[in-house]
Amino acid sequence: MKITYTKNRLRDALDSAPPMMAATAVKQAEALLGEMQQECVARLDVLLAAFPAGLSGDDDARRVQVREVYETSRRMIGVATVAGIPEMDIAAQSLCEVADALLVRQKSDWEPLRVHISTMHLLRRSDIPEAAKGQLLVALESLRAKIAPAAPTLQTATA
Amino acid sequence: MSSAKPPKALLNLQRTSVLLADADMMGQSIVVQMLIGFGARTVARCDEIADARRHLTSQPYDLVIADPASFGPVGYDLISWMRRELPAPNRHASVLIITGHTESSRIGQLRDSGANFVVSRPLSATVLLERILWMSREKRPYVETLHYVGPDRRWRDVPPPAGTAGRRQKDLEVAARIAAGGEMNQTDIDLIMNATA
Repeated sequence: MKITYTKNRLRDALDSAPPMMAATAVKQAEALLGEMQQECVARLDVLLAAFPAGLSGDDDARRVQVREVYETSRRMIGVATVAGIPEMDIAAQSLCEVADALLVRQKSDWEPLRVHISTMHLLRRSDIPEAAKGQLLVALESLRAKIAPAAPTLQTATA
Repeated sequence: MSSAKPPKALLNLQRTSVLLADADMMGQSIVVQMLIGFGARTVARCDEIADARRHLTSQPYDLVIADPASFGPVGYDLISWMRRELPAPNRHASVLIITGHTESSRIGQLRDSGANFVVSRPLSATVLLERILWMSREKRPYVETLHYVGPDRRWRDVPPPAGTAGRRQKDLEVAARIAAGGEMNQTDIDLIMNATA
């Protein structure tokens, strides 16, 4: 085993710049993110429309479509929060775990995917009360727990 | 977007050269907006792995931020390639991996890629800033073994086994912090990774 001690260049770079309070940096970043909100809403709608209406073909074709659902859902994560619809991030995360679990087992059940996608369409609507959104997420969590009960994740630190 | 309280620290990325590798343009833009808010002026944006490799081969970067999953299977090799194949200084550059979701079959590969830190989307400005600050304070050496090249992961604040009193006053600190749902540091993450491996 080789061990190398090296200077932390990130630290040097930060130390060489004029200091800025972290609170100021965060405030500036959040203001810039706020300017992206509508762009993110539009992106979210594009991704939502990209989900299929169902799975078709033989098992191999269906598994390819499950993977596409997974990829579309993964792209939503993070965009929804900036769009001001954080509940959709939670739903997208749940859909990823369900689709991943199906792919691991080489299954291609449409129903759990359909429920997630339908729920996302509901969460996207602005006329849904907060309490109802909470209930929808609880239902999704229950479904996720059945399909992917012990999905190992890299969940480390989120907002 | 974030209700988390920013750390009472100083940070300015004005003189930090950053490489951002993310195949998803919207995901890229979100991170870039945060970096600009933190003062960054030099952010190389790469939406293809070949482009990221070309950048990393041609000029030094102080901070590399990557979403390997966004590139598909080839994305998972980027950081390990950087740690094994590149000369210094980029070989030892600080690396932050951002991931929306990681396929269960890829978790081990991502964990062993040699990144300094892994964070999940959705990512708030506060969390990104905290992780950059944390990496800037890192003093871990880099190790090279047959199966792993990257920051030394043996440098841990491991709590004593459950049910024992511990030998030092701070022994239970990590376990207590995780149990309380508090912020995690790299050693906490390493503990969790080992538990799920």
